[in-house]
Amino acid sequence: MDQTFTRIGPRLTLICLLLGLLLAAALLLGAAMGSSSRNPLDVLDVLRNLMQPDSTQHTIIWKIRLPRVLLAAMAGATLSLGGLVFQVLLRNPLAEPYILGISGGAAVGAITAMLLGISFFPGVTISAFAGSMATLAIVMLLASGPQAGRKDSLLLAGVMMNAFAGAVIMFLISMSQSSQLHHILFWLMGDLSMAEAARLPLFALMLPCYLVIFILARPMNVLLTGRETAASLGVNVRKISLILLLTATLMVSLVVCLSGLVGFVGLVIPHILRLTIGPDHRLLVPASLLGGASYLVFCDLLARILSTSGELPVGIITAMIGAPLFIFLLWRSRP
Amino acid sequence: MKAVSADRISLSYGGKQVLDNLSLTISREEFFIIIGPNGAGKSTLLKALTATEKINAGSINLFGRPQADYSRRELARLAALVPQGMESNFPFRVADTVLMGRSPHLGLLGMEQEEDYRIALEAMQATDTAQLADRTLDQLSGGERQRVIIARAICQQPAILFLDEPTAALDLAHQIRIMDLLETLRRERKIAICMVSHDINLAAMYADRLLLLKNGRVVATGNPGQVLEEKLLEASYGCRLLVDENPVSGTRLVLPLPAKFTGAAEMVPAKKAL
Repeated sequence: MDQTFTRIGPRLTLICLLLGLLLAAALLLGAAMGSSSRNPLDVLDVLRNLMQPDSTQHTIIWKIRLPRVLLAAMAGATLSLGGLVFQVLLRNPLAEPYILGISGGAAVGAITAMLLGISFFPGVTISAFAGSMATLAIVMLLASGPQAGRKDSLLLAGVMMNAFAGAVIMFLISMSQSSQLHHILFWLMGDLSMAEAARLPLFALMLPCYLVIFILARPMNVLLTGRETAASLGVNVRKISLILLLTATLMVSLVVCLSGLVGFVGLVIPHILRLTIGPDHRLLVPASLLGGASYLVFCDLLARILSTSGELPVGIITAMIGAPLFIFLLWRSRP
Repeated sequence: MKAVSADRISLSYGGKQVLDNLSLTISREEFFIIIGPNGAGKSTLLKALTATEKINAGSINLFGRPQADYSRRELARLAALVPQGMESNFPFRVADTVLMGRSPHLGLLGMEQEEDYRIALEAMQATDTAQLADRTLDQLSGGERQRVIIARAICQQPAILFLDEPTAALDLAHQIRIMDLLETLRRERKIAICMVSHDINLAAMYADRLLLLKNGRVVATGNPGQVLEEKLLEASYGCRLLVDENPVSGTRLVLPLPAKFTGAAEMVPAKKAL
């Protein structure tokens, strides 16, 4: 067998295995550690206590930490994959749902519905989806105008939409008399502490989204060569782009509803993975899911350990890691 | 049965008629080159023939079947495109890039079989790019890059290859190398070649038939000797030309003449004296 081409099968298995182990470790640590136990060795205690259903620790883990850790994993997986998809659609490695203002748009939609007292599902989620689609449409319109030749115009449009969404959110909040203001403000900063076991089934909606994107991994590779070339290689560019766009926007708005504005996950993880395993999306899609999940579980764990009193929203941690990386990448991409 | 037959096609962008009632045919295994001044509609014609732009009127048949009846994938197994320039924000390796040519032949999840690797390797050997396999596209010179894209195109195993100015940014040696490569591919693989070119002299030496395009209309079509007429070319390009015979190939040689050799009448008007 010649060595010119690297076979995809064995690499895919290896990558899934390694990242799967990482995720398992993250989930275990995330469930074991928290503000009441900061010692990683507590994992052993946890495993022992799980056999005793009446202990306090058992209750903490099953009722509080486990839903939270699972929410973190699924939010991280989705945001990371969402970033990857937008990077392909816009052919720009700096694209990301938060930076493009898509998350902000979803938040405007979600808050509007929350303040109107509409039920969480499907009311808030549909409103969030509408908000993110509207933002996305405006960003793409702005970036496809006479300024389209400039590579940064897309990012600029996204940043401005993000700022605008922020202003709308603050306006809505300041006008509101809602008793839930504290709750909403925390949610906005990207908060996983309100994870409720009852909302976890919503993630059943995510799995088909992941599957659709994985099936389209090969056309995603081809899309990166440009619209015309992709068409000549047999890809129905309009159809595939539309499916990817709707799927990614839908799953990102769902995550915004559940965990607020957690930024930069979709930038950090796909970037690190592209550096280590290359640009093939048949590997990047599963790797982004597993890597993003592990990353956000670790970030959330860090947030819980760092806060000595009360809670630190995980969105603050991801922004503190992601924003400097974004600036570095932007600086390096200068000609 | 012709490889391509376009019958009275028209195409307009935003009110501007880019292709105007244009007809052409390309035979199987033919080396067909489209020439013409800037803005004649050459690239648009290529886009219409490869179905990346929709025509407003007329019909295009590929290998005896209406172009519109083909799915994208079917089309990609029949016709490959070497576009002008390529972006590489995402650094794919040369081997991966060539392997993408197998896309229209792969199933849903797109897992290659050994046969696909064999075809891709063979395409790289035919284009002399096998030794570049591990490099990324942005590490290549213009000529190397062009050969890689041609390798990807023949990896599609097409019956016709479309190219948009494949020699535009290359030095003389690389221009000849690419053209020789295309000629070899045409002969050995029985692929029809349809390319847009600005280089009339290269076109004259390689083409079986030329098409001279201006304002979206066919000015002349036929073998290079018929199309490369001094009066026809001067009228189409709007400048004085020297048309002579290439002593080696026996084909036409076309050179633009500077105004200083052709009299003041053709000179660009000098700035008005103050």
